[in-house]
Amino acid sequence: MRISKHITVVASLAIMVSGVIVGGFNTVSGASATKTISVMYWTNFDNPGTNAIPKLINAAAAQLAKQYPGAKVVLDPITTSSESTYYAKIDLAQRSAATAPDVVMEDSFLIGSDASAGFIQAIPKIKSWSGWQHFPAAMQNVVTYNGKVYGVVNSTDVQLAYYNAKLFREAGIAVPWQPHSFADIVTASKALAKHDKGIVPAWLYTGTPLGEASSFRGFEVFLDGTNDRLYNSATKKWEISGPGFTATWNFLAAMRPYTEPESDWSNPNGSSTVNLNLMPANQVGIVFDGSWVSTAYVKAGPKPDPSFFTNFKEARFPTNGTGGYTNQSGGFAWSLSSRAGNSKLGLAMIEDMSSAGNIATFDAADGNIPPRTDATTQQQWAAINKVDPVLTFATNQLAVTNYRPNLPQYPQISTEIATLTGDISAGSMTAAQAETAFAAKVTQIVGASHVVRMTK
Amino acid sequence: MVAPLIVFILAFIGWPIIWTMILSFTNMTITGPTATHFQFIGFANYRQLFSSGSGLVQSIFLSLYYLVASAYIGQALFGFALAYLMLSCSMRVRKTVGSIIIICWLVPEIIAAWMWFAMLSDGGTLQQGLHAVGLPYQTWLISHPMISVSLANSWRGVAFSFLLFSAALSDVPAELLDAAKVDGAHTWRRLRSIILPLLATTILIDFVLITLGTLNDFTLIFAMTGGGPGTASNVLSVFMYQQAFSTFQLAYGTAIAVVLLVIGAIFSVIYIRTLRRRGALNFVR
Amino acid sequence: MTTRRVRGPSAVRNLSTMAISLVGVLFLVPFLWLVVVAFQRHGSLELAGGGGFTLSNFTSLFTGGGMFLQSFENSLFLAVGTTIFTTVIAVFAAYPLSRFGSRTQEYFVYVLVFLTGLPIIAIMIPTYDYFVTLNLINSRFWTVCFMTATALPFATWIARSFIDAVPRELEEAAWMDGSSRFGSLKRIVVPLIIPGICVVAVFTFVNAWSDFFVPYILLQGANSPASVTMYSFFGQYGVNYSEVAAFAIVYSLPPVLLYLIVTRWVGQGFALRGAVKG
Repeated sequence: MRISKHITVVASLAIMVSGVIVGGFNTVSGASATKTISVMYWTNFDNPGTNAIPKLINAAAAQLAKQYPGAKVVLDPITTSSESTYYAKIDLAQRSAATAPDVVMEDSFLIGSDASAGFIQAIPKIKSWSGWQHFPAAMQNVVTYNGKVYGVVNSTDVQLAYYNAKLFREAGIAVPWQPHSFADIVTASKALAKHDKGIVPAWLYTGTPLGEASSFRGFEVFLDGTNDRLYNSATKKWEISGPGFTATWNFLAAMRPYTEPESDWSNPNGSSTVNLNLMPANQVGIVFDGSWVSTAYVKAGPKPDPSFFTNFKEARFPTNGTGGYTNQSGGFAWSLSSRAGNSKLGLAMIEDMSSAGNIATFDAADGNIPPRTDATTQQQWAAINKVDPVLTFATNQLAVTNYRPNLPQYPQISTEIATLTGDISAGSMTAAQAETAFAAKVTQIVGASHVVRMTK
Repeated sequence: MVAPLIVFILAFIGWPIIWTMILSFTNMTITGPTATHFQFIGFANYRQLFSSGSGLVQSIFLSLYYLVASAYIGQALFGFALAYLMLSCSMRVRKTVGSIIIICWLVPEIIAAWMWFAMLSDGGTLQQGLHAVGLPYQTWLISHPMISVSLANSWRGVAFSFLLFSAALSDVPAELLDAAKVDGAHTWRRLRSIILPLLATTILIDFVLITLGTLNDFTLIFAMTGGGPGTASNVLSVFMYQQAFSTFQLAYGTAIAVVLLVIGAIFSVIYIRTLRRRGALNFVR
Repeated sequence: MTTRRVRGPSAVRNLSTMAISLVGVLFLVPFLWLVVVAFQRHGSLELAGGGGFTLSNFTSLFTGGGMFLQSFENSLFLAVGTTIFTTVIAVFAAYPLSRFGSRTQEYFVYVLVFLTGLPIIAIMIPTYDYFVTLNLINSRFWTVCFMTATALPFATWIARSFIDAVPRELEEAAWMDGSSRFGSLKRIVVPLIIPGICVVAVFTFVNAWSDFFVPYILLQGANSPASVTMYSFFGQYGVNYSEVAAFAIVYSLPPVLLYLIVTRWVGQGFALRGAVKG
């Protein structure tokens, strides 16, 4: 058996070496195909705009081919019903040249994190592109990390409190309804619960299965209605506790008896449950969700239903008892992968996808708010606004909106928030325990010198 | 001639195991600065994992629950019962039912997960069936997730134990089986004192294989419940996946992987020692 | 497996026949929904309705989009590749392990049993990282190599127990005639262990065909096999259940057909008896 031992060693080396050689070939072939670029994006069978992204890419690809003869664009969709799976998949893919796309659709809140990981590259040249000036400062800041631009936003949204006017009237709540404090929301939910035990009085995103939405729509947008913030960009400190935090955690605990059952929020596809099942069936009183929800129900949408627009009305997010309004916006952006085979072509593709016409067409089909000011004057956008009254209402909220901190620590902190909202909903934590745990977790993640406790 | 085997195992299993151990001492994440520039952080992942409230204890418990319920009871015990009952069964039924059970085993795991998911869902066939006869149904996937996934795994996996036991029982001298049958009152005693001892090696090997297969299982649970509701079916493999990919902490996920490896190794060592004592590893009987 | 039937009081026989029949029926229940819905136009979780009978869900698999054919081809590549690699390597390795018994060999077998039990899932994250570093990621060939490595311990274990059952005298005669070790393996042992080789091959194929997590991590997009495509349908309201059911049925057929063909061909020696002997 001595011989076979030698063979083993030699053969293992051979495998390793051949692996490296084959790997080398992979890289070479990737780099030589400079005229072809790939665009990676998220597709979801539930999304009314399932085809909106491929249409956008194809339209832009046709324009790209005119500018750069021979340029080809390959679609690289990632199909999954869960957002967090998409985030993990694109990050895994961008670790290797063999799987990295040239252009990738990034959720704007991950830009800072993915930039610091080295997955996406800064695109300083974008500032000299004629379209860039049409993006308002807020939309430019969303894709800026450490002073450098890492992408171009293709869509944004605001959050709305959709309420079912039919159920509200039946429950004896005056419509139109506009809460001015957390207490107003609790009161309405309580009345709805009393009126009909069979419905979900209020849908609130909560828990880790619903991922980022639980943190963003289920906590942060409410926190923004107080005087506390998750991150203070002036002092560069994370706020971990304070009266606003206490009010928000208490609000979530107070809502617990009236929100959806665990079977709904523990399902990663919960947003489909509420948007496509509960809402059209008038089984839910209030839904705190993105402004794109209504687009599914317009005449040309995937689930045309005129009664949706008569039953559901929209309210704004209140500042807690100070008479104002607040909001939170997210959205996706196109970024250039650090491992792009042809950065020049990739950048040109991003510019083409972000033209006023392409953005207007895409956002009209997908129910988003265009991030580009001159896109809102395009006729595609005007047309969808006529059939979907929610969009105008939503666009007006941009005046009071906020954005998530574009920092590498944010995704981890956000995960902690989602976990804690779930602990409150499951009844395994009180508001006070959640507040303590939150402060401890954030301190652990960013370090004690980067946090601050607010006193008023 | 053994060389290719050794090469494959060293290159594709040996090295990843070592790398698992190494990564579990780092702070590697999916995204953020430590995604590519990670550092060694000593035992921090393990301290976090073994601190209270990490969910580790619950996951170990759920993995053991799944092992006992779906493998030992649902596959080994049930598989033996099937094989034994089939001895005294009409040939046609025996062949038909045997084929059905084997087909369940041949169906890809993800399809099995989908079928069971559809059957147990809210509005699924089970609910309709029970309603039709006037019985209430609470969605099992939500109210009893561990029972749901254990049932599905038993359904899918029982064929393996069944085949092993059928083959072993066919080697048992017919007189012994006949005697056991005729003497109805003493069936249980005969089973215990004559048949089970003859099958001891088979039983042991069956236990080895299904234990390891079940601890390794991920797809069925991941697809049916995703570890939920909440963390109610978060067995170790799903727990690992979630920490690594959903909360972006890759290295923390590998620390859970190491725990999984250690548990697998403990079972393996126990079984190897037992098999060796029985001489069962010398194969030729 | 002999077809000898145990005779006993007919009451016992009837009782067990009834019990077994009931089990058979219960085992079919999960299939019921799948098969009914696959032939409906717009199936739902309910059996009734569904918009009438149609075969279009099956025909559209082969005409529309190409996603099905692509993922089916990937599954075939992975499963066939893994089966061939595993079977050949396992039989080669099992031969000396069976024939030339020594202390080292014995320990080697322990290692194999030990490896059989390793949770492969536990090493997927580092394997991903390692595949990225060596640039092996998203390659069907290297995925086959990895799947082969994970299948080998069990396959070798089974193959060894089959070779153990071949009388050594047969080979000794061949050696007298000047046959090499390799020659006697080829001409004497292999023909006698065809049933064992079939067990190894079928077992490896069924597992590789069904494998989800390994390709889910190591492959992406157009390289994904049917199991990963199937997973992307999970929990999606926008998906037509009927089309997915048709996909599921066609995807489930190859292992079933393979099993039926092989058992028919090899006959009674099948049914994992080799492993039991071990």
